[in-house]
Amino acid sequence: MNDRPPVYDPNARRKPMNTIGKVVVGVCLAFGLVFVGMSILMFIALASYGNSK
Amino acid sequence: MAVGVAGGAVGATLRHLGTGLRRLVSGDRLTLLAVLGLGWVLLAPELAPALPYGERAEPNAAQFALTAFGLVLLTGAYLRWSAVGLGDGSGWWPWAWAYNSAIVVIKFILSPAAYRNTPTTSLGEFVWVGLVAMVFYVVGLVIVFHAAAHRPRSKLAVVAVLVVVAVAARWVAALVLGAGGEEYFRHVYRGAGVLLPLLVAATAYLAVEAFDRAAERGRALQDGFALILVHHLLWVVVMVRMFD
Repeated sequence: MNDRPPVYDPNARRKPMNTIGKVVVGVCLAFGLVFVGMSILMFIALASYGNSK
Repeated sequence: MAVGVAGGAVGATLRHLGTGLRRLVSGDRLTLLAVLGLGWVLLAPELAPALPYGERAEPNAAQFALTAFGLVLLTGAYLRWSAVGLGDGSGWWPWAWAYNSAIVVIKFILSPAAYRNTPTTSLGEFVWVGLVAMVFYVVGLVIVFHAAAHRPRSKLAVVAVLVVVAVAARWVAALVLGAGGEEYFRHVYRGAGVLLPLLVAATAYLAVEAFDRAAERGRALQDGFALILVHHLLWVVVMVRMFD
């Protein structure tokens, strides 16, 4: 039985992400960008312009 | 000798500003940015009712936030496209995107808020003073351009100079333009609370970092100048569209 922990190999190549993974990450990043960006701008707009009725 | 060097620097600056203007009107990617930006500032207010607070009486905060958001994205897309297209791997464009985004927030959110809070100023006066304020943006940009060329020991000192220029702009405008200018800047500063001084300082810092990283500072000046022109022209369209 081998109890040694796996050896870290800095030269090991990471498995490239497949297309579905890239699409999922892209959609999440885009959603995050829109959500965070619009939240910041809405905060500034409401703070300066006011919440007109 | 010193006069010759100064004259050369002025000439180089004017050449870059002229090139920026020529690129803007000659079908360059900048022209595409201006056309897409114009389409967006006309369309965005119609889309705002789908957002929170967007159904409130027009013009409302959601309309300005959505307009600014689209312009921030378009500006980023242009700068990245421009940098990658030139094979410029110096990494200056995210900083340029950041300082231009701060300018977009000032022009498309804080400025309309200032107008709304300035009931005694007519739209024509307000737009005129806002266009005069554009000169101060260009002066700030030129200062950053020359400061980066001389590799200052302290970037914070350059930022401090820019903030002083921004504050001085208020008093110069008040002197040159009379009560209209004074009122514009008073309301811009008061309406935005501490947001505006913070944004001005942040814009100055980000611009200094952008020019410090730029492999081609002349190109960065051209882009910065053209973007200031585009944003101010679109700002006029927005002000007329929303308040006239």
